[in-house]
Amino acid sequence: MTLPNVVVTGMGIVTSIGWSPEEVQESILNKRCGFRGISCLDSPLFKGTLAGEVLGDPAAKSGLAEGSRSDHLALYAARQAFVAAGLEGLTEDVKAEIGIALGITTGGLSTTEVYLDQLLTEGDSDIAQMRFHECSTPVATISRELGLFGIQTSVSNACASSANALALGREFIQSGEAEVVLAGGVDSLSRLTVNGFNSLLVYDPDGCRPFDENRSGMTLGEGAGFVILESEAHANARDARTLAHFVGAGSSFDGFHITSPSPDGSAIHDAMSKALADAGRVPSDIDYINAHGTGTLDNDASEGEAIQRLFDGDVPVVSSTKGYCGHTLAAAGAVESILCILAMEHGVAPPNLGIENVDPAFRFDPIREPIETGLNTVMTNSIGFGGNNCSLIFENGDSNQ
Amino acid sequence: MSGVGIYGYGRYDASGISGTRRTSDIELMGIDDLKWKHVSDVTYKRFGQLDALSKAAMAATEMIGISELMGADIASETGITLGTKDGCLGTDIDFRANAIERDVSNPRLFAYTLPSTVCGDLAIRHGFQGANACYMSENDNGVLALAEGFYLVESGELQGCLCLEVDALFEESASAANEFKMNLDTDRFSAYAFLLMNTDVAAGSPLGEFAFTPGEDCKMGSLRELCGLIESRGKDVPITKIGYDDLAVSIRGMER
Amino acid sequence: MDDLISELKVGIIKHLGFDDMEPDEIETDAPLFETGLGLDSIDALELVVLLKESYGIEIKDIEEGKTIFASIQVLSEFVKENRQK
Repeated sequence: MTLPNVVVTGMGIVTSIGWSPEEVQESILNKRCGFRGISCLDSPLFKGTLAGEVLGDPAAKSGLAEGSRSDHLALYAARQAFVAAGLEGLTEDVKAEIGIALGITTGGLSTTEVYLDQLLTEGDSDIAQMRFHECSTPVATISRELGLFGIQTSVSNACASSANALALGREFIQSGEAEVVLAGGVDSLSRLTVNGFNSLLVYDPDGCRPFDENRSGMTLGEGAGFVILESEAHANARDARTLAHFVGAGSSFDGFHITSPSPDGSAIHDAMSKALADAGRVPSDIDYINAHGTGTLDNDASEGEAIQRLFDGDVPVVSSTKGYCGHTLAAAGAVESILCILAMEHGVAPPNLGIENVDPAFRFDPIREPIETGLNTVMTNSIGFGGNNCSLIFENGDSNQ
Repeated sequence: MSGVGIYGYGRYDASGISGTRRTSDIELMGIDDLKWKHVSDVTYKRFGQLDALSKAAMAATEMIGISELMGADIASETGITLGTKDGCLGTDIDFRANAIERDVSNPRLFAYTLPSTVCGDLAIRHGFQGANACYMSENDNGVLALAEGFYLVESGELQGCLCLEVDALFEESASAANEFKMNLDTDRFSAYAFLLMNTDVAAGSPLGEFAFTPGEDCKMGSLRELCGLIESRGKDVPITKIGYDDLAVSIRGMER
Repeated sequence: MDDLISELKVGIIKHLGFDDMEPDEIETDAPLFETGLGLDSIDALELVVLLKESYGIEIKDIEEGKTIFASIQVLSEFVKENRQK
């Protein structure tokens, strides 16, 4: 039985480097880093710490009367993808069949923290704020606001969440559960994550430097990214523009430690191999890898080792884009998939910001300037706490050829 | 042609601790009092470090007797699907309460403010290296986890899958939550675990085998009900079809 | 047994959450990481917190921690010399 081909027909994104795919691409080309001092929340221990905070007020732009920061970011990006794919004009009953797969870890945490603080300092607070706490809230919000009632769920797999969500959305279509799925991820800054990553001593307050020999940690980011996934047949029937073909996904588990990857990178190696097998491709077919590349000593070492081993002396163009938007946690997989699709669309591979000298342990050189080059097949990696590893492969859409 | 079967189950909830490996001769312990020695004779020193969600999941899974059902080679191609409604809400509260009390962020608690850390602990303990995911919605998380597990094994992506539905809070977390006026029930823990395997690689007969029954209306309310059905089977009563109609998956019991 | 050594063993068991362990199961001279007790990177960070809270010692660099945490014996000597409370 052949599984239906799945294509990407729309994208929506909000990050510290832009409120749309166009704005984001412009920042990429101009090497405009999105790190700034955190202003959306008050973390007394970490004043001056940099993060990829979204500029502007998500609450004012989402069109949502009330919700958490994650709800606002998610709805904005979801609606942007929905409109870009030309789905607004569909009838209610067709929209009602559309599915949602969303990656998320913080949920409404930033609002919950405000609630808890008010309660502690003032003795009272509005419990209604707790309505937005659950990780499942943004999906419910998007479902209600856009009228989508097909199969839907949230995936909470740490930093691999939205990569897994995109793979799951593709599975929904391949299995016939849906013809169209809104797939993506969202996470917003919170005191828990700022403090938490600092307590693990893996946060670089001055900005992450993926693959650099003096790298000392990650930088948090926030944002939302969504793609419209569709069966190729459905997309062709309504004459939709195919931005990319979603040709492969691979997922694996480290089983090594709850926060550190195994040093030989065997799990991400496995995920990349599975994605290639799923796509029916070999390593030499890959033109560009968007690495997870958080900038921590351990992640970059193990992922670098895995890339070298898999591509065996013939490593394609590589970069981590976390030097632009930071580590957007659950949104990373979706945000970085969008950056990969933009790279193919514009024929420009995005550079790896933050490198002064590449760590000599790596036998490949991440690019440090945007490189104009035809890109046909690209891969994006996501590696999460708990040992989740996911790799996705996209190919250039027909409309870009 | 190979199929997908359920080869083991484990249950830990207010009505007891039981599963394929051991029957409910274990004295029921609330999640706060649960010690590893209550569920297993094998050492596992890290049990005390786990949060409530991981403890409940680990205890239910231990009732399956995984090492008796699969070797290391199959385990390395086994994944985990986890469904949970509240996820790590308890640990989120613990993290915050701890930070306020001690003016420091506890790194281990931070690692547990992710519901997928449960999967990490299970994978480390049982040697699972296949695909995995944690699903969170208002309803039907367990059924989605089971259906996804079935799909992963049936498609050949995995040789086995541990499918779980877990929700658990420590009494202290629930009390702290109530100080934050969240009005949570203090007695919450439930964990249901099922081990799915490719019938070609598994030894012995399954407890139940999955079958597609397109067009047929099946109802499977929850994994708790599935546990109940397996347990009440007795020797002569086969499980008739259990399914989740929207996902078009059903489980057909083996005639014995 | 030296009081501080005993206190450290009890403190480690309690602070790191090893519920079912007895203090005399921890060998004074055995390694704490990799082999011996088999602590991991998060345990290391929790030991840093334990040193601060119980003895007022601040470890800024986790690499420094690796030498100090070589064994209970080594750790107790370090604490004796550097404790603030």
